[in-house]
Amino acid sequence: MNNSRLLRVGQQSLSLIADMGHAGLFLWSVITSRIPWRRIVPLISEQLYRAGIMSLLITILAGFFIGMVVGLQGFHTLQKFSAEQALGKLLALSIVRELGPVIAALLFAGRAGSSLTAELGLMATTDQLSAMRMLGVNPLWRVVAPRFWGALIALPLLTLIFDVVAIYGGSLVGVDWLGVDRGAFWSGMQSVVEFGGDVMNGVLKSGVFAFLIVWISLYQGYFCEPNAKGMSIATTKTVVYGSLAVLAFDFILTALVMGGW
Amino acid sequence: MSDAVAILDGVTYRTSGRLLYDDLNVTIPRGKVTAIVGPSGVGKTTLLRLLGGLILPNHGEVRIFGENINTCKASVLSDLRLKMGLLFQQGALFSDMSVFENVAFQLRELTRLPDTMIHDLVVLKLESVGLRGASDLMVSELSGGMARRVALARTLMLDPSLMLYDEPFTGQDPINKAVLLRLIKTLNEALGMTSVLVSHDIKETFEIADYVYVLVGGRIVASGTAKEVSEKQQPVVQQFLRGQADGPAAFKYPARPIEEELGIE
Repeated sequence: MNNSRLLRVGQQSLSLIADMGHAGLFLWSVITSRIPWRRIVPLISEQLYRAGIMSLLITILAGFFIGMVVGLQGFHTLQKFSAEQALGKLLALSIVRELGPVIAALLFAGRAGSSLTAELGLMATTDQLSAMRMLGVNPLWRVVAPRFWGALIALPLLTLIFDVVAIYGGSLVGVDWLGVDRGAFWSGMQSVVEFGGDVMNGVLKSGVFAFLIVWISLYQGYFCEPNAKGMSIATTKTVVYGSLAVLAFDFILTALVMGGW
Repeated sequence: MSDAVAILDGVTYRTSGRLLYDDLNVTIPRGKVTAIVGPSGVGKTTLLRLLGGLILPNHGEVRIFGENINTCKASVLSDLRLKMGLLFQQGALFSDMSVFENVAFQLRELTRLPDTMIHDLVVLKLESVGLRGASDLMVSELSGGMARRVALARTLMLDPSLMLYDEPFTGQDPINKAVLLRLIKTLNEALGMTSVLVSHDIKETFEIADYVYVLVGGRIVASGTAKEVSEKQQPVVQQFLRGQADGPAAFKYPARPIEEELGIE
């Protein structure tokens, strides 16, 4: 009994390691695939539209509400210490360093990541990828690479937009509704937020998150079992693995940036 | 057959733990229509995928135009594929493109032809399958039969030397069937193309095939011209050609006795 359980654990571990190796080889093939540049630029723009512009509305709405919530919660907490004038600092740092990159990435995994997996899964299920190979065109550069680069560019830009909208939402609640001094709000924010240390670190984080999400999404879609159940499992895995990867790497990157390690 | 375009030499292939072929030998002669017939689930489509290099055999060799596709470089395989076309069972059209863009796909991706020339070539191919008027339709607006004809036009765009047809007559009405039959035969004769036809539409297939292989239980059980195969007295061949449920080729999937399953004494 114990032996069979041990055997199962061993088999599952081996299968996990093999899957990771497979996913790594897939990523390597995508990055190193010979891309005809005259064709790839319009294809990347199309993917930027589909992954970026199509996720814009949900990102803006989420950013706006999260900014307002942080403004409201921050105001009431700071007020207990008569420090409500520091709301601008609190809002900007929490949004730019953490909430912006992480929440934009989680939304991106749910909106664009699942859509990439479903799209590739359907193409695999209906033999479109095989047909492309038979027509002498490598689907890795024609289908996968544009989606990879498009998503990699889109998420950092979405994160910046999320940051701006969230700060605006926070200022609406803090300054216009709850009466924090406008000058103290904006000058406090300007004095603590560093462009390189905070804003660009957030963008760098979102670049890493984009890489993880798009890698997981494309791998799950490209190699999904070619039936309805397989596609459903692949889409779920994309959202679950993508979100967990974002949260785990957020901790690692934060620890690295803050000098914890 | 010395002048062979494709050869499967001692091919063994396993999928999901099931042995599909064991030491399979098939030769596709140049300039002929070769048909591979057999019951459903016997691995006819898999055989076309092996010929296209989409899957690799566990043992044995698949040689196309003299190249062993198991061991050749990816670039060589890609060049070989430009000389062959595979018509998939469901068409496998790109669902985010219109009919025109599907047919123009290879020209756009692999050539630098001007748009006007691409337009003219696509229109001519669509005309040959009777769908010139459907060029602006999206794939979701096509019937199954139309999708197959668009896929045929797309596959024929670069005039391949070897065409692989996977069940081309399934789901076609009698008119389309007759037109397709003529088209396959004409392409072979006029362009010197080699065709491999996988089907279980015996009547239509035997009408145009120069050579027929009967695939049952992972082995070639009979081969020859359509007339020779029709006259074979082997029970398994006769069972398949006459569509009988009882015989050496299993119609029923293996199961325990029905009395036992229903609890009848």
